[in-house]
Amino acid sequence: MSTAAPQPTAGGPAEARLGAEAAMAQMGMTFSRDNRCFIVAAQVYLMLAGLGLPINGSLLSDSASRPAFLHLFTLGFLLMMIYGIGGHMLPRFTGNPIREGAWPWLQMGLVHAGAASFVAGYFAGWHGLVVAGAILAWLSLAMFAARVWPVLWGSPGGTR
Amino acid sequence: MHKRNRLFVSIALVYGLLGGLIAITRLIDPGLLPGNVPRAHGHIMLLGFILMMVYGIALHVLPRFGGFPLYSERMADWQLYLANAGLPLMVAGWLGWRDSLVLAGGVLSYGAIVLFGLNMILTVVGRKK
Ligand code: HEM
Repeated sequence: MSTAAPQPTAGGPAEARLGAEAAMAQMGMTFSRDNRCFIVAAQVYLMLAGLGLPINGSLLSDSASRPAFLHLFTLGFLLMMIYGIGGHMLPRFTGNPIREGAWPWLQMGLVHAGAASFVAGYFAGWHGLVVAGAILAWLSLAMFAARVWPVLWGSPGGTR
Repeated sequence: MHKRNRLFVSIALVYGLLGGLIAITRLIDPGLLPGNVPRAHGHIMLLGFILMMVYGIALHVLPRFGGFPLYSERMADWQLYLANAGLPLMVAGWLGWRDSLVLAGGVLSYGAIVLFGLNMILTVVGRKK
């Protein structure tokens, strides 16, 4: 991605639009790297969750793998979409910055390790792995909540 | 961002953490919590976490994307009250095996859903009060 700030163009509407789009990217309208990764990962989990359809003939089977496919969808897809979109939009809605640096990556490591262990534990019938995955996934949610809370309730956020 | 919408998002996070804790408790000691714990967890996560998050974000962005102000702030306020009265009642009903509480909570939660749905429709079609 270019780091040079785009200048207004003297050309026609097409150039002006391109210039405006580039300027918006510079103002941070586009995803940061961590949120981009959350969105990409969410789609991968969705495709994995959807495998239940050709395999079991149903997104939610009645077999022992039911919680695994269900949580590939909920923990993998829904939760990571919320991480990516929430982490991107909420700071823009309230005007308060979100904690960046190592935090989102730790949150990402926890949710991947959590979802993978939880699901693998159900498939393998290994309860200890399910519990470990559950705790890791919960910790990632706690980390997201801790990052988003000051975004919602920090000082300038009181305005509409 | 309107305080009510920030409340929706904050409450969603609290429900998400609570629903996760309930599920972890169930996994570690299945006998500790009474009642239908998976049902309570599932609804805390879907109605409490996901739906409240959607409520908070949608009430903020849909009027802006639609180009019209929110049709009714009062409907949205009542949506907040009903949703947060309904879900705890439903959860209490599942954990306490009290179908009447589940029914009462379900009616209130559904009231919130209808208020949201109508408010959003009337907002995006640009209906004036
Ligand atoms: C910390 C993260 C989570 C943990 C530890 C967790 C754990 C569990 C467990 C242990 C069950 C019961 C499985 C069984 O039938 O034996 C369950 C069911 C379920 N979970 Fe989760 N879950 C988590 C996140 C989520 C999320 C984010 C959602 C939705 C967005 C969700 C939705 C559901 C639903 C709908 C059920 C099925 C309830 C039923 O059968 O009535 N879960 N979960």
